[in-house]
Amino acid sequence: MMHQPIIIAMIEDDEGHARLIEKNLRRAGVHNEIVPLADGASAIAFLFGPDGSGLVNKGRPLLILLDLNLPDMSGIDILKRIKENEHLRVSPVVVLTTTDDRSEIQRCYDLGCNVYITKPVDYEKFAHAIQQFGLFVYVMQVPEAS
Amino acid sequence: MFDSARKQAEEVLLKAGALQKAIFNSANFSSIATDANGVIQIFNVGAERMLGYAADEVVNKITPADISDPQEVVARAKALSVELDTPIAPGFDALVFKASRGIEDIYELTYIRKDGSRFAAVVSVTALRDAQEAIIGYLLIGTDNTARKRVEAEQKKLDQRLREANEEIQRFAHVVSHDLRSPLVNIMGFASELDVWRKRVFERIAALRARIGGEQEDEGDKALYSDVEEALGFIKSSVTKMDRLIAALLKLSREGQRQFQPQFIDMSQLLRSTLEAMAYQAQTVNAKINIDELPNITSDRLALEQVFSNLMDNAVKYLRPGMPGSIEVRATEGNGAITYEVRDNGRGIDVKDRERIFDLFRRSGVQDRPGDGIGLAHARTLVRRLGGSINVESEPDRGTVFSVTLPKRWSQAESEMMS
Repeated sequence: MMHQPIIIAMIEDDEGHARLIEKNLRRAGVHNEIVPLADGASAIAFLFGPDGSGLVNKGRPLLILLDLNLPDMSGIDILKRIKENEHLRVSPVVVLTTTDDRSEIQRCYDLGCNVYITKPVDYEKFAHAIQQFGLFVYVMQVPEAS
Repeated sequence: MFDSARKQAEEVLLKAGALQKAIFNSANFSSIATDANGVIQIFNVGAERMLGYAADEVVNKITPADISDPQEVVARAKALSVELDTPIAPGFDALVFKASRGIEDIYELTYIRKDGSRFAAVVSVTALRDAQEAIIGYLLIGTDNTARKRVEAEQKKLDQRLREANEEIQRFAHVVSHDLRSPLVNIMGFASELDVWRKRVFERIAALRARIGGEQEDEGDKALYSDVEEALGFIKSSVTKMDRLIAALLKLSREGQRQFQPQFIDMSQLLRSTLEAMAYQAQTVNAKINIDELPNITSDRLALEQVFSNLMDNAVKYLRPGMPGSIEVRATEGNGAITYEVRDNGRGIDVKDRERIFDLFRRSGVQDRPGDGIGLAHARTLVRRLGGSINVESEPDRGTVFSVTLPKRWSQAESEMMS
């Protein structure tokens, strides 16, 4: 049986950031479906489904890009819910945010985030970071939500 | 001679009862005397005034414990039982137990007035003894503690408010720093994308021009090309600067939150390693740097490293070109404080700038050296938090002296008192 392609859930409230991330992922040769989720509520709805159980994503290989500074809730809370959910906890979560506070980084890893990347203002570095990450996505294996 | 004369005078006063009368008639002290069992025998005007009872309502009827906050009496009995390792009943005993053992006893107590209202008192208790040293009663002298209590409560409220305001500022700086940064990512990102597209657009214009048989190199195109390039350049350099300023704000807000760790610091050594880190800069401007043997201090190492590396860095940075630089660090000590001086013969600071230079993002003189106007603001914040002060003396074209005065021993408690 063929592996299903990875679906990238991009939780990012800033449209500009979302666009720049997508552009650079595409440049790195990532052609996977990217689901843009512009706030916490739509992220929760997509990830956990109408019943809130997460069962809706069973069997889908999800890769979650997560911004911490969302207008309606903290990305940390979303991370916590993902890692506490029996279906979604296997899905890799990549925190992609402007915050480079050490305690914030520590907190995210404590809660089970898989990779933490800061968005640099320097665009060369930003583009490089996203493209490197894109190359990584290109080769990585992601388990299906159980 | 003199002593015996005084004794005599005392005896005269005592015999006449003048002293007792004066004390007992004072309306500003509640004087309550009891018998050995605690039953009130004397209830003076002060007590009547403060407690609202007339003497004949209480004398021979109740004990002072009956007009004290019962919960405080219970708490006091418990505390004393533990302290003196003997069971003490929560009643009159709790009020006079220490005095009965000959221990001087002054404590805070809440009295309850006849009308049920309460007032905070400081009570001093003395055991009254007969000629054979047997206890025949107790004297409880109370002063109204309400004013002090109120001041204390006010102080507590102020402290709390100050703490909250501080935390608020820290949170604010933190949030602002991050939320300001987010749009910068976009401005920088899309300006960079535009830069790439700019090249492509002009390539296409050139190609189109070639196709319609126009000139290869058009002057108008060139001017436009460099105009766009210049505009994008300004956008990018401004964003870079803004990012730097935000990073500085963020750093300041984090520094404001960092807990200081007092430790013993060899200051000569600290200054020497600061110097090593900037040996190259010092060499390129031909500066001679002399560090005296400096008194040691107990303070936060990281903070002092930051303060003095900033001062040394400034001293080297603002030397006069073409003039051999000379920088000296010395110190004086006294009154539990040490003043460290960083003295240079550089270009000096204009008198109108001597306060401004400590403000965030403000700088002095010709803006011909790199910098964002953060160092001294940061240094002052740190020095203040360490319970000290930073000052500047300067003569334009002659040199500058920065002096940092710090407590010889810094401790958390001290700085909390300061804040």
